[in-house]
Amino acid sequence: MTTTNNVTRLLESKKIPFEAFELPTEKLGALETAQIMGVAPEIVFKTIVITREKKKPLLCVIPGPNEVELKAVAAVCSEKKVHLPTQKEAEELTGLLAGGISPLALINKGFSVILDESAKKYQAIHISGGQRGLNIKLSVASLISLTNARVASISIPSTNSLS
Amino acid sequence: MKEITCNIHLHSTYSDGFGTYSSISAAAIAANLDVIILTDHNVWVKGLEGYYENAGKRVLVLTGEEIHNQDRYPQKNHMLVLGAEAELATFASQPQDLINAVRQHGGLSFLAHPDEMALKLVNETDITWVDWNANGYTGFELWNQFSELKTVSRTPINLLRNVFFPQYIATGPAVETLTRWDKFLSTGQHLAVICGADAHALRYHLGPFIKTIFPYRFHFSALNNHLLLAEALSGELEHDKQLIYAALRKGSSFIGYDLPAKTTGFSFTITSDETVANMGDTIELSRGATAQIHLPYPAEIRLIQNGEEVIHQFGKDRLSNSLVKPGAYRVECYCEYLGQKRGWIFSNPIYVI
Repeated sequence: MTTTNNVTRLLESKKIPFEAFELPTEKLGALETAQIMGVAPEIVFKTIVITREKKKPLLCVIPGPNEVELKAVAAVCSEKKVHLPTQKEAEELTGLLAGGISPLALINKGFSVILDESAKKYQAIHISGGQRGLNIKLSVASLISLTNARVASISIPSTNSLS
Repeated sequence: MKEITCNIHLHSTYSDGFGTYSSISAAAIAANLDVIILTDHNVWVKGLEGYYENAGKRVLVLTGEEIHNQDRYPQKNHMLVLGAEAELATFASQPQDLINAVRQHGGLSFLAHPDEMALKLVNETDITWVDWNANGYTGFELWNQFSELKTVSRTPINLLRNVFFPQYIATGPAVETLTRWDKFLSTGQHLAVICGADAHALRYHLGPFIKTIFPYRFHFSALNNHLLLAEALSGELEHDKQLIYAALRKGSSFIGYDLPAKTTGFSFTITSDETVANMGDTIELSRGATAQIHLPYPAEIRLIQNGEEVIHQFGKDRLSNSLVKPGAYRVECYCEYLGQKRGWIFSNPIYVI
């Protein structure tokens, strides 16, 4: 593979089976990514950064066609209110470019991860490989185990056509 | 999958080897092997298979046969027959008939030392495989330890050094055999490979001194087949024999040169469309199909598809590579030992269709 990064190295070191999909390196939304890969958009998950008061931001991993439900996220993490930062803020908070934000690239960096419970319907899902142009398919169980993610219902179908 | 270590192609006192079943099994136990398969020349030794115990440990001893036409001059076309459970040496004169007979008996046929050179210094001829029109065999010996001694010992000094310091000999399978294997694989054939010790523990007398050439114990510490079994050995002969022969037939194994460093723990898998394939498996190519290789120690790694190198890395103990083409994928690893680059691990292929 031409793309080897910390995410693939992490998966290799943990001996976790994964499939690597190389994609165009421009910023792609989850739906475009699904279209390029020829897979159902529901199994291509995106990572949304959510901020909260005086605490490290959260990473919410939700299906491509969905949008994050802030009230549900707040309830899961026992916050009164959580916020959706701008793309630029999200990039600054994670140190990753939009399109490459992934919990796999942010392990041991203090981010709590919440995985939308719809993931549990699938054996494996797609998630960004930590950089634009790389998408990783791995088992849901491996993702939960690696990121220590909580699983909760945190998204609803989007009213927008593009995610 | 459960990995076990298995040494194949051993000769005992039932043909031209110098060890008994009992002494060979004791050497195998001392080397921590799980299984040894004895293959005496043109004799199927019945009634000696089973678990042999020593010092609280055990090894499974199985019996195959090395069949060849003894009337043929020069000697060619030796075949290792495993699991046929019958004496098939009567078919030795016609290799294709022998292969067919082995198949009919549900056995496995591996062409022994298909490429090697004569050791003219001691009048050892080359016993290569020449009947390449034959087909339907299980596979061949990719790496034969005694063949390598014959091939690399070109001068008397060379030979003496190799006899007294056998750890200097092995550098890898014959290039001709590797090339031949890749050629077959690239035509879509499924061919499993094994390594063979071709152990005899020959004894040479020099006055009052006796020198054993390649003791069994040395073979057992060097070139071994590492089999991936569907389940752990149970201790029940027939059950375990079936597991072992199923793995050898399919090529669920790799060849490990364990002398420089133990190869136990090597893995080569391909994940495609949520399915994980191991060595010997067939898997459909999907977008995102990714090969993963793990070594017990950092080394030089080559991933090869139908004989063409896909990726080559140095000093790594793991490698991932996404695959875009179908074909037979296999792995070669090399390490430095005693001042020389040496073949360390040779996997059987994963067939991507």
